[in-house]
Amino acid sequence: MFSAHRFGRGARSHRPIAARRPVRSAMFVTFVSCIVAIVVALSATAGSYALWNGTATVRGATITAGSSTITINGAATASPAFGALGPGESAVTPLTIVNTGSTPVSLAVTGTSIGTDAASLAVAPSLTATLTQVTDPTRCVTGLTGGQTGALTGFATTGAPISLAKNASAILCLQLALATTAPSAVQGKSAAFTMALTGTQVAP
Amino acid sequence: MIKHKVALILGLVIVLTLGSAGAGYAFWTAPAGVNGSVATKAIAVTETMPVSYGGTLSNATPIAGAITITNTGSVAGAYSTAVTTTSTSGTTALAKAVSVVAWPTASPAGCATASPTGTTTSGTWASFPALTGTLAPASAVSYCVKSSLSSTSGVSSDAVTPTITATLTAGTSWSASAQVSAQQSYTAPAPSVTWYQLKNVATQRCATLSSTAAGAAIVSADCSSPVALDGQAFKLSQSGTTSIVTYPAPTLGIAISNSGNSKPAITAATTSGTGQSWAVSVSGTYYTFTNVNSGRCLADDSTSAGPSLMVDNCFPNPSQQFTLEPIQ
Repeated sequence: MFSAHRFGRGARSHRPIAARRPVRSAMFVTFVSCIVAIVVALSATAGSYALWNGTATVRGATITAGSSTITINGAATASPAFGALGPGESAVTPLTIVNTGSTPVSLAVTGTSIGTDAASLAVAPSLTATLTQVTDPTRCVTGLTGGQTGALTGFATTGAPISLAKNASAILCLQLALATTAPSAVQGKSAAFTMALTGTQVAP
Repeated sequence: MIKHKVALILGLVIVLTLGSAGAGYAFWTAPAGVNGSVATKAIAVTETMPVSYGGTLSNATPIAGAITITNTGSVAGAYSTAVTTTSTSGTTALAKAVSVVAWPTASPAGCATASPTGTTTSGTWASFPALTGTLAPASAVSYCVKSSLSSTSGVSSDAVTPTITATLTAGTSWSASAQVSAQQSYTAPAPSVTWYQLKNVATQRCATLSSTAAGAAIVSADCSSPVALDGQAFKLSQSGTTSIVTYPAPTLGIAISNSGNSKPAITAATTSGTGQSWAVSVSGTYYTFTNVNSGRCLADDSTSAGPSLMVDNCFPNPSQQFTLEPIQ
């Protein structure tokens, strides 16, 4: 009988004023608590959620977000040329990475995939990649040591990535080597690969 | 009252959550990539013979030739040669008897008259060391190859074909081969035949030494076949007059004991005495032996194997005619 009055349309008009006050009071408290929480939270972050908040601009009602981009040899995708390889031979190419975004990034090779054609799949198991940071492209020569080495298939960098400030650049020397044990069947073939480099925004 | 508490708790949770979270970072990433391709080289080699090392072998004149190994591939490699030899006779006697020397040259065309110089490699066609080195792509190396007979002792007429195979390798699995070959022949001098069977034309049997003792009878016996140096081997030894020397006792000869007719032939010391001396006449391929002492002719009058050869009055009859069957 009580419930019917509470949720029934006809019962609302007969609800006593004393009974509606606690509800309004609770809603008011909840509203105030939320406002307080939001204000406290926003004051703690002291700005937007983007890390490159220093470059975000607010002019009137317009908010412009920052950017995080890198280029390799002046483009988003590089297609360097390597000399042909015989068993035990190496070929190198310098990769100039430029941070063209508005925030510092850390560079890493996050993976390398091999072409799905038969020639690529045949040659790739005999290929080794070495990635070494150099100070000058002229220092990118075969036999360079000190970088990270691994099979070209699935090659990715590990350990401390390379930090790159805004507008800064780094030169990486990519060396590919054909194993001395490369089978005879891989002669005169070509292997295609795609190496993914990722610049990840650095926390301030 | 309960609703007031719920509202307060909810508010505190929100405050604590947002307050403790600090900044809500969005870590943006910038992807880029390398689309590359790398090609592999290939290995290939050719071998040529600018000057053939084939020809006729002799003691006096060596055969000089040249080979050239060329890297026709795109990868540098190490080359090595190997020699294999076949022969007409199927034996290795001639291959072992041919001395071979090779040396690098910048002028393969001049190898025919060049002398070994610099680093030389020596051996025989039966066993020749490898010629080794490295070759960059599109480069070549040439060698003079000079061969000569080191000795003809025990070497019969034969022909050998040495094949020189050049193999270029890169790494542990890449290799390519090429080869050249040429035949070298050797003709042994004809042996100077000194020993013969004395085969009677009438009986087709051979004069045979019954023993090596002096005075032993020379009998008619079936000719041995194949011919061999045995009791049927005789040599015509000429020193003024002709003696018929026996084998294997060259100090004995066929003699007639006296000058009578129908006297048996026996062995006797090879002296210059007239009993051991014979005048030899030839008619076509038939030989007639006339004893100097008696003037009678050596004859085989037997009708079966066994009887001694005799001397009889000479007359043109097959029983007094012999053919000389070469032994060696």
